[in-house]
Amino acid sequence: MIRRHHFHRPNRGLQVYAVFFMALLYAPIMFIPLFSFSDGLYIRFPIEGWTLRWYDELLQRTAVLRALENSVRVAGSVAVVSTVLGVFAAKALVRYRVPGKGPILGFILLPLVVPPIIFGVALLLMVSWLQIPLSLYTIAAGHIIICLPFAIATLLPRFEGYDAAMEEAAADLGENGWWVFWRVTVPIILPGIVASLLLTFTVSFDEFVMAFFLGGTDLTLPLYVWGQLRIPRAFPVVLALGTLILLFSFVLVFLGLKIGRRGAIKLVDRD
Amino acid sequence: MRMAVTTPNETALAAGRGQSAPRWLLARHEGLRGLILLAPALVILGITVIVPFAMMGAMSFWTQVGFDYADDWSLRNYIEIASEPIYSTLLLRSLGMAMAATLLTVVLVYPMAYFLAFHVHRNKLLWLIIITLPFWTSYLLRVFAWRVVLGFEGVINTGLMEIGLIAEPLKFLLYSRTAVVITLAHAWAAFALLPIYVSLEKIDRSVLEASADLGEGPVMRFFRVILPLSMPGVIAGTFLMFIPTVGDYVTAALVGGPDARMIGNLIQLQFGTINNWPMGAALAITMILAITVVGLMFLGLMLALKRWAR
Amino acid sequence: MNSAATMISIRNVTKRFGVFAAVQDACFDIRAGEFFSLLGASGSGKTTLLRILAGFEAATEGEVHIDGAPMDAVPPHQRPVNMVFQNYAIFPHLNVRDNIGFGLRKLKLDKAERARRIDEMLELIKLPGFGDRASDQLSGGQRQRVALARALILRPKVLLLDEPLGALDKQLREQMQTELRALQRSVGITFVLVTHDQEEAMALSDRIAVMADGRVLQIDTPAGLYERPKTRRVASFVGSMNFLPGDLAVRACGQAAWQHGKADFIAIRPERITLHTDHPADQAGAGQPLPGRLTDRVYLGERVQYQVQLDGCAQHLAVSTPNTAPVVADPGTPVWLTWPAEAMIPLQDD
Ligand SMILES: Nc1ncnc2c1ncn2[C@@H]1O[C@H](COP(=O)(O)OP(=O)(O)O)[C@@H](O)[C@H]1O
Ligand SMILES: [Mg+2]
Repeated sequence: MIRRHHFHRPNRGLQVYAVFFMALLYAPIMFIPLFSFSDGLYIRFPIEGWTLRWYDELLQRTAVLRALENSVRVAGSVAVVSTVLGVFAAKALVRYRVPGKGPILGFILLPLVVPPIIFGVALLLMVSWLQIPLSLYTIAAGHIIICLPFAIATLLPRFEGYDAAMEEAAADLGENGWWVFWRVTVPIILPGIVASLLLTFTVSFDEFVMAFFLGGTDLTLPLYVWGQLRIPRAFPVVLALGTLILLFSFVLVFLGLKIGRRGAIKLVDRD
Repeated sequence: MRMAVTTPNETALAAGRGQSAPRWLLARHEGLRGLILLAPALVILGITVIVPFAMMGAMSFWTQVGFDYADDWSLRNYIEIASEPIYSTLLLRSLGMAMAATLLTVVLVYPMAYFLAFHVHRNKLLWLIIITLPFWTSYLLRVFAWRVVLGFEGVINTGLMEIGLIAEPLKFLLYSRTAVVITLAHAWAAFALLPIYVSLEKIDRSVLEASADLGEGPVMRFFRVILPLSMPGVIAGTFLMFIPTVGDYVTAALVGGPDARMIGNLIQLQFGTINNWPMGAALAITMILAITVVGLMFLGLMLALKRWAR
Repeated sequence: MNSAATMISIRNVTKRFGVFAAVQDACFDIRAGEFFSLLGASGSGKTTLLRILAGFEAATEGEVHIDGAPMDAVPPHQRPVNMVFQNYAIFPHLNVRDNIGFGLRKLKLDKAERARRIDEMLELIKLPGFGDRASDQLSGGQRQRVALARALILRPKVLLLDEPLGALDKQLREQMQTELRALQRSVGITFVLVTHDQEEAMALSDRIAVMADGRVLQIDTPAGLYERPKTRRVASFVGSMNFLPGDLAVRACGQAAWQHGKADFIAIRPERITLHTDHPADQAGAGQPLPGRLTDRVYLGERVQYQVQLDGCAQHLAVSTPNTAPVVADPGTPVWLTWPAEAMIPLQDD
């Protein structure tokens, strides 16, 4: 049982506030799925009837499916690349006495804070200067900048969470660096790797600003949604699409956060 | 069981065999090994961040001539930004709206972070996940959701009309600065919440007991112990939220009207329909500088406050 | 097995982290089949020296030979040594069996032989039937045994142990000491143990190197260290010790019996001092008993420890008598101290 400290007696006011906060947080988002089942062409109360026809219409659109495929391809490769880079970088930052560790970490985490529009236009500038055509590849390059901090932030605690002696023990038992990595490092940080893949996939899958500046004629899903937002008649279909995107993202992120944290907690609990 | 010491050790294959110079260097210099592991990430970030920034800096001193640039290295763009009121208006408005959104968020989020840190004992992880969940998912859709809520024919207006509280849609809801500020506050709340929560969570519970022991009641305990100790989190949260929101343009584009345009929208236009890239570059750099200046002023203010409080 | 053969030869090894020298000019040999301990306070450089032997740290200067081969260019995974880590470093993702068999991969054994070797090890560490336990379901003592088995299964020439008993409670630690000693005898491998616990080092080792501030102060057998410490630091680190100025000590045992020449200090073990409640009769050739006053008495069970302040000076001496000796009076009582000449260990300032 939890220790009931006299400072931590349940506070009715705060409890009410917490419920209010959570409602405020989720309510706006929940209107998207709600109205996606509404029969009317306009988003308004009262809802006149319920229908699945917007979903039906959505699946008829080849442009949506193509955008979905593009998004999955970009997000898949971005997730793999940023997680692999993240594993190496996190290992180096935690395990080795690297000169300038603090500034390097700060630099890598910078994109978490700097407005993405800055990275977007800067990359756009370079890409057009070098006469590289805008494509899914340029989008992916932009997404790696944004996803790398998330990968590293997810993986760093994993490396910090276990004793470097594990790797030394494996070396001591006769394994070279390559085998130590595969037989010890990877299995121990596996939850972190899975979490990083899930989270970076979602971040890239849902990313809009970079894609907006760096995208060519091939659209990703957020770009497609953006295009539809200018057409009020298309709103119901956007709502249906948005519902599916939100559902998909929520599931991936929930799993990612859950796996990532549980692993860390389990390792800490051990000693 | 006796293991003869003379049994040849099966792993000591290369004992005494020399190694090449690079491997020797690697074995001896940890820092070097670390840098090699970091290299891929740093090289990619160098190519995608540092080089483009340098190019952007360079281009901001160029001039747009028709469809081409003149690399005449002039300060013309910056002079125009300084002299034409439209730029400073937009810049100041962006800073102001970001500040308003940040203030609103920090105030709303603090009690929630406090609740999480001090009053949630079971399933803390689940709470944290559920609170941060929306922020990982589509920014575009979250902003769009507010359009659904605030729209002329949106949830609030039609809802209020349905219950008969209002006869006409409230026009100020959508396409206003208020709408942008509310949407920004909602969209970035997790960035302010997490650092505040962490700093509250870190407070040693025995410090609270000590202050109670020394005779402080709950209210003074909060103002004299908890709030000061959580200030680093508040400051971090303020920065984490303020900096990205200054440059936001999606929100203003979707729920803001003409008088809610932000500097981000103008930058986007320079790279879009206006097609004056050097000006866009100069604006982006001006924005970074402005954020830096405001950030430093805020830090200075906080330090002064701290000194004054003592 | 030739017990005089050298297994490890440490030649002028210095290790610096930046300008700080964690190990300074270590120079000694460890014999084959020997149970050797590095003893010193925390931070004295024991672990660093052990890690140099294992290959995890490279010596800044000097070199190490193991079984005659120079180790300078040999990475850890190719050295004929195995290590039991301070917190055991049991792989969390593997069960007991796979932990113990971890190092066997390179030997390309067939399944049956691999299983046989692991079972043999489980037998040796007295954990038969524990093979399928998950690593997080082991007690501290069991983890320690698994770490031992995992290292020994490769039949190293040297087993390195970094404070292997440090994490265990007192009772278990004493039991494991006995087992460790028996294990070392039965496998006949050279053991190098790092510990800060002098009793543990004394109980286990054939020879002990006492370290302080990165330097090796003295290398000797447990009895040698206890009875003939070379410096004041060694003397005070191994067991408890009284130090007193040379002339004072000589007076107490008589000039005639004193043949060591000049010494800055005299060290005397508390248990070598005899406590008298009456002035003892003068004996021919013996010195004068030193008068003093009892200031404290601590009852330790099998022994009783006294503090005595010598008359006319600030010097305090600890005296330890077996519990069978007649219990002397309370603090404040006047007493006289004597000791045999051979109990005095002359020391120079260090
Ligand atoms: N990797 C390192 N970097 C810097 N200093 C170190 C490092 N490892 C050990 N030291 C220092 O070297 C000294 C000896 O450490 P160690 O060998 O672990 O001592 P012991 O095992 O005897 O307690 C300590 O002062 C420690 O701080
Ligand atoms: Mg140590």
